[in-house]
Amino acid sequence: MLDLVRDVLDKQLLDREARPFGKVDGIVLETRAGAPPRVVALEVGVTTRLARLPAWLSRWMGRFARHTEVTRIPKEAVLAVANDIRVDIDATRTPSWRLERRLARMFARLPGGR
Amino acid sequence: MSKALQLALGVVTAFGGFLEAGSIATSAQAGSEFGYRLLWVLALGTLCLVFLVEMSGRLAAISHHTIAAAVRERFGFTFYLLPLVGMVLVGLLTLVAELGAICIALQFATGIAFQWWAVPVVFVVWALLWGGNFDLIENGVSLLGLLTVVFIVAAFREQPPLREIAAGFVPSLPPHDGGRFWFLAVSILGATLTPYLFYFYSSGAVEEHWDERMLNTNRIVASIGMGFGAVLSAAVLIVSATVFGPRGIRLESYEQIALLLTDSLGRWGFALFAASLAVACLGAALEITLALAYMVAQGFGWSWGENLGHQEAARFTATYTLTLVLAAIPVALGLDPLRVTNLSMVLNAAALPLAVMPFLVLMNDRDYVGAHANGRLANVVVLVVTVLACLLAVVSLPLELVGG
Amino acid sequence: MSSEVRVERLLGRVVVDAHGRRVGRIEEIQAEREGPEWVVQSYVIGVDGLLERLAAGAIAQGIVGTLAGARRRRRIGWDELDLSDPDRPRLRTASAGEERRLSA
Repeated sequence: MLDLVRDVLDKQLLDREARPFGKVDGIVLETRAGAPPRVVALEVGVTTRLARLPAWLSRWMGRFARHTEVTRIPKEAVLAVANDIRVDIDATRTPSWRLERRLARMFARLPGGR
Repeated sequence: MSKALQLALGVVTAFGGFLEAGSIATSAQAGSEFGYRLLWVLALGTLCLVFLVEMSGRLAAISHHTIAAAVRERFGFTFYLLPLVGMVLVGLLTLVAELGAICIALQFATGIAFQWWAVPVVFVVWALLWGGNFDLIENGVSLLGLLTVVFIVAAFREQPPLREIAAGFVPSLPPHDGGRFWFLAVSILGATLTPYLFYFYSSGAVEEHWDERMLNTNRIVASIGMGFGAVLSAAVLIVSATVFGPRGIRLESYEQIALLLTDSLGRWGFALFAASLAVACLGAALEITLALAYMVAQGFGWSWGENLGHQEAARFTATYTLTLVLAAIPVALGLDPLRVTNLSMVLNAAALPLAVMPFLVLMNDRDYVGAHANGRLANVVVLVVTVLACLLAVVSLPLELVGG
Repeated sequence: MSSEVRVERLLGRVVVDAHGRRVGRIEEIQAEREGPEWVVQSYVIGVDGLLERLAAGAIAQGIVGTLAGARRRRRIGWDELDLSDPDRPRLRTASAGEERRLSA
């Protein structure tokens, strides 16, 4: 038995190189006629996160946040669920990594950047 | 590293890193206005701190999660925003206080007004974070912080009345100025229990890959290190009580507090005070900056760590950089460092439940700490002191603002 | 016909029964691993109100432990809950599922 809220939602995501690249901000279910709903994907991203807040707060914060593309991890890519959730993707190729990459490039140019 | 050395280093680090702007200022004020009567509040705060620090090390060693990460995971994003926003705001203000105090110390040394030092000081703090690693920050700066031992030396040279000091550890009600008494009491609690301290400690434990074998070391470092550290705060209070107490001086500026050591240490006293203030607050500034970056990065699940390269933890690096830039502004604008210190310490107390309550739940949750869940004593002490500090803060802050 | 519903969106939603009476809020969604799939089996509905939603209830319970008493919760099967409007989940029956106490 897997408690989706307790065991999956908000847990740390690690990619195939064990890079931390976010927490599980959302879980997407697919409802099917005559069959139980199933998990199709996990999501990481500002938009998913904001949608969880109360409407007034999400509207207000939404004005400051940059709505970058949400990273969607298909259920098939999930390798293990324990304290952290390991997934078989390359985080650096996801939208979640864009800011990280841009900042890293900037820091590389500074003296002592490593 | 041998176990004994590791232990000694841990204790020394906790001891050398204990004093900062808040504990120096509030202890000095308490001593000058109420003699030894507030020592029991310091003792109470320290007892609670020992429990909190021990808990944060235990959480890290058993679950390999920091407090911030675990709170987000257990309570969800929406709830996590509350402690995050509260602690970032209070933490930023505390950082402003520490940076301001370093600048004041430099003003004492050079005669150049403190606000001009804001940018150079922030740059040095940033450069240490940028160029250093976790060991350098934690151990190096804490070793420098051993200089604050001068307060204990001064306390002995003042030959204070031991009977009155002992009486100060017995809880008592204010003899006069009740409002001010409780304001200083809650300032002492806030300064002793600054949440960044145990959030930083839990992150450090994870950075250093603690596991179950560290539990004993953790217990000793938390109790002996923090316990001895609090002796430093007590020493500041005692020196202040003997030097200023009889004259009933109300300390309104760091210039006044700076005379703390001249009575016992002569002309070296002033220089030693300035140097102690500078190194103590430098250590605190580094820790608060890191603690805030940890909280943000861990809450959002970014890669984080002072031991990682900037490119491996770019958002984390950007967060501490931005934190320092924001904190430099009020100092450069010349906001009075002592007032900021006083305000931030009370706000630390007011925000304490945000930092502590969810953490306390985790420490009782067997999913995280397994068989190492809290005992009843730890729960009760932490709960009572936290609630007390918050209530006192909420009541006394408006009174102080109106009265002052 | 299939459509998407989000766990985080369902969490905390008020569930009403077929007569529109309030049953409680969704607190947990339980899935079973069936081969490569995670298939939802049941929903846990907390009968408590505001406190739970603010996590204050959870905090009180976490600290005081059993003193707070077991919270009233009921578990309902996946087929008892109509999710055609995810913002207003409804029980398909008037009072489906047998109420039971689960320790938290």
